[in-house]
Amino acid sequence: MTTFPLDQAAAVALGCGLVSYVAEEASVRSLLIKGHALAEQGLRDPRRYADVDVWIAPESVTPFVESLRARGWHERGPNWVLDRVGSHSITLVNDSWPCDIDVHLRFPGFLAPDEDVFDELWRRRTTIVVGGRTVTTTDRAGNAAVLALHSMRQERNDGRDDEFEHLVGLLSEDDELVSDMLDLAAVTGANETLAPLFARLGATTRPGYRPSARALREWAARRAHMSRTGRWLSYFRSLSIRSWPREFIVAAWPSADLFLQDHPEVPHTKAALFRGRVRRLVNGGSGMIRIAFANVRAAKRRRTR
Amino acid sequence: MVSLIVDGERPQRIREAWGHADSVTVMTTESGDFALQRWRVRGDVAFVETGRSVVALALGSPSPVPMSLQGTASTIWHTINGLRDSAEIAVAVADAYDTEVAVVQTEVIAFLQQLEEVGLIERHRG
Repeated sequence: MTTFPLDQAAAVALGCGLVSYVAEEASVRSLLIKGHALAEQGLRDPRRYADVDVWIAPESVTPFVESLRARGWHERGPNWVLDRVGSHSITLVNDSWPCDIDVHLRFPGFLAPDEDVFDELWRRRTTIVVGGRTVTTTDRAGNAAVLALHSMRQERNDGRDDEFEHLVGLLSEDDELVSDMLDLAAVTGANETLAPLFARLGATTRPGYRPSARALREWAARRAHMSRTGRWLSYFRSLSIRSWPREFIVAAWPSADLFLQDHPEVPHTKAALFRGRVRRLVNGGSGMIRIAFANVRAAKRRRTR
Repeated sequence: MVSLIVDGERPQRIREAWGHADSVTVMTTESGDFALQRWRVRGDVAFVETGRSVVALALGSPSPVPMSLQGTASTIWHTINGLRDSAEIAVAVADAYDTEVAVVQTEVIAFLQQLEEVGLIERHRG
């Protein structure tokens, strides 16, 4: 037996077994999502996966993360951006492993309350075998919805466009699965977010949870640009106007320490830090323009309805 | 010196193979004792095949770290099916390498004990 540079594919498969085992030991409800779950259910071709994605029941996230911490997994470190704009997952790393574990608290695009969404996906749970172990995941409709939302999370992304088209092709030949997804979308607040998919399939959504206008706006902003600009806008909306100038300065031109927290890959030289912050600013500006155009398009659509 | 427990119902080939080995003591016991020597992969182990090797993880360990089993180690792992005991595993490994049991037996037994110590396999009553 040897220690060795662990192959990432093997690490992810074993990581799936690990999170499932840790959840069972801690009596925590967990669902493996994306990666192996999509491939095992025939929703996406198998590929090399970068990390383990596990969705944990909202009430159990803390004990689950603590259980992994006790086994050598830890968060990357403080991140001032995520502290402000929030995140749908907690990324855990382990110095002996070449893959991360993403502990999902929610999944972008399911706009019903987190507990209701998880309960519905849990109700639909099934099992697959990964890394020689039986692990729990949600059913094909649940995983298809996750894949659809993941691929639609950004409007312009060629790789994810391919995933979306593959899913459309698959669903167009499976009425039962589409019907199941319509039921799921109604319960989980995904009628509007999955609307582009249902429109392609000629499927009519069913009455169900109605998300707030703010939640829909945030989803549209997230889709408009691949940066975090949309989430920054949501953050500013949550603040009092009085604190905007101070926060804007921090957001637009963070100190070197803060910038490096979010971009540890950038060399610690003045020139590199300057270039990195300029790139970030330009990217954010581009995001603002895209989001503005997306808002105009959405307003037009609303008027024509 | 390695001690093995072999009962009277074992295939003659195993008895001869192990009996001829200088480093092995063959003892005859009740079949119940013999059953205790069967090996299986523990229920709290995850493992994957990567080419010719196996990477296994003892999930119950306080700090689980994957272990790579390559070459002979991988061959031994593949012979552990819950039905074989140490002697039968040695025979299977010897068959796989087309060699005499005596050549591999010490390594096989030591390795099975090592796998047991790190929490990857366990003995059971078949």
